[in-house]
Amino acid sequence: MKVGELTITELGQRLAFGGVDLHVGPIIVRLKTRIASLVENFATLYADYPIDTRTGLADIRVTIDRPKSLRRYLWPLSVFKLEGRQCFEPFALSKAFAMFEWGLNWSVMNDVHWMLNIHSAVVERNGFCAILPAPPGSGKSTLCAALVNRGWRLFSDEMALIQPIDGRIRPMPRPINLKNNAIELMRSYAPDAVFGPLFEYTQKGAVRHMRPPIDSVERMHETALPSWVIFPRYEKDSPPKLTHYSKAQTLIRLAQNAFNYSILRKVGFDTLATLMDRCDCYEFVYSNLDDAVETFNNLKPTEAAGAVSP
Amino acid sequence: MKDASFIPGRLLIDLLADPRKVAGVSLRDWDRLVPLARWVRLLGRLRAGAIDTGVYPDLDGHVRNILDSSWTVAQDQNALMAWEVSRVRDALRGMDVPIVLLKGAAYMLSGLPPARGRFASDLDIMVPIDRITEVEARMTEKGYSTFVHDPYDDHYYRRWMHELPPMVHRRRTTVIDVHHTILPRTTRINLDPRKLFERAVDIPGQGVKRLCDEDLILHSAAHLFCEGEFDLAIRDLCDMNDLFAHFADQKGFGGALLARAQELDLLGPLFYAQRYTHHFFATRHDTPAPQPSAWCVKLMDSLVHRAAIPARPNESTSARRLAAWGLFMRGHFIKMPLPLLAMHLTVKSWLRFTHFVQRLFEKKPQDA
Repeated sequence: MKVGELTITELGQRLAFGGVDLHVGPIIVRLKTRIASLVENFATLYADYPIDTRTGLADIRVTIDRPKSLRRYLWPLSVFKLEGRQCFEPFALSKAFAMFEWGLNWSVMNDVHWMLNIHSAVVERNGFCAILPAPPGSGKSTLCAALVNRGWRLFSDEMALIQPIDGRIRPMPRPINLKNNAIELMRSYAPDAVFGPLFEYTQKGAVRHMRPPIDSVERMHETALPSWVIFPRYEKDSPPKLTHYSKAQTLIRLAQNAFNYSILRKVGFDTLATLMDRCDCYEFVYSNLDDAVETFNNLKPTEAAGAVSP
Repeated sequence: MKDASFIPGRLLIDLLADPRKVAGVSLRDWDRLVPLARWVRLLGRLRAGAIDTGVYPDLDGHVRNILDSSWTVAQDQNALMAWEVSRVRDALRGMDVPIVLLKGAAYMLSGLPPARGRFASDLDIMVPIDRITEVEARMTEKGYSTFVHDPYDDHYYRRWMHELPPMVHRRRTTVIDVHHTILPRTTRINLDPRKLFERAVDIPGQGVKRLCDEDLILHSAAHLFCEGEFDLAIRDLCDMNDLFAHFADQKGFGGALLARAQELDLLGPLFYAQRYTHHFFATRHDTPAPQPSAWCVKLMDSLVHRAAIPARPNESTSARRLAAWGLFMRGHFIKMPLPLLAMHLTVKSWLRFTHFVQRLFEKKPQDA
């Protein structure tokens, strides 16, 4: 059953009592909440996601509710709890969904260590993944959003989850988190996409979530091998420039961008080393999204990632 | 649907007693078990049990992923702890002071069974009391400092406790407790820490020591039954149970343990350690410690049988909470003479109250 098959009342009831177990790629997230705005935003952005009814075992248990303290009568707030423990300062009640998204990233980062988790966007086409690691503000999410609206499959706009055992990447498609200028840009670039509400004045400025394409959600269990690591950088008025980048440097930058590289220790290093053997590494400067998508469409998969040479 | 009589704490104890049973746990039961086992830091331990008994490959892939995550974190923490031990050893080099590792670090570096999948939180070390000022000065010089800044808490540690206020290195995260004995200074138990140092043994290749075999068990027992912190009781009982089983093969160990308990004035804690490892894990003890008065034991039974069954705060029953509170008070009563205890609790409540009042008037949190 999908989230979108429930009426908003049914969904609200389930979220309030017992919670909803949601398949999000390789993990099951249990969300409990009584906050109406969160139910509504959740219904919009997670409409295509399957609800788990068979497994019964959640990986991450999130409760978001109004705090019990007296303060609730003065300022409407919402509190994020992971396994019953409060993890952050409360958010404004109206921004509960934004907190859910950040909190979920944080929870995966904290609790899921059977995969190497690198801070980066991942997209796939014809069975090959491109990993786009980049610091916040480099246009990673924007480029990722553009690509998935032009035929690439969304794995994640936030984390690359690599299985140490075979080096394959697990998709964890989630709503794409667009910030500030990227919001209007994407609205005109992908006019048919579904967007959540605009959250203004968050820590990261204005934030708006874009619903992932249904194909990406339906294929959330289909893994793929990585073929490219590309460090994107938006530069005003620049023509698209794709330049080869050293694998040694790439490995170090990925290690620095990984959430659990140091926790995984040798496994972390081995996984990255295998990744480097498979991938071609580039730096990519762009200003125009159509040009960028074209550059990506022209990428040739590596033989090490399984491409058959002509 | 949910079975009201299902108590995850009981299931966890069952699985610790017989790890082969993890293969038969349903996914729905795992769903209640995982948060609890994580809470009492025994999830890695469950995985170790499953590996040892060979049932790990039969587990559901989803369960294995969760166990593996926990295991990975435990392994990393152990590696960090081993590194910290080497840093402390180097910091104190040349002082000719014995460094005795306690609890988790000792189990790990000696390769003792409780170390498997154990979440070591803090690094506990012990040095002789007449050297502790020097040790603290040297550690401070080498970049360690305390993060206890409340003057009352600092005073509490130094004046009454068996350890310095916890320290941490400015560039690392492992918290270090530097002890000078294994029980608070104020305790009623008459234990001479010099005896612990006399029989401490070298950990090969590490340049540090650990307590002798008997004292490992006695320390764990004293910690659980004389300090009153019962949140992780099941973990402590599990540790002791592993140690009992591990040393049981040594000829005459039971007798030596009993004699040592007598020598250190820890017969009471040993009695309870034997009693409750038997109760929860069905461990047989051939040389039982002498029983304290019958009504004492009865009272303890009624408290421990409830309080030691692990539960997360939201799943705890009021009977369990009351029992845990009783044991907490008992622990404090053993820890401190009554007038001192009364003063300590009054000061603590007052500080908590003023803190609460301060928080009431705190300004609105940053709107995120």
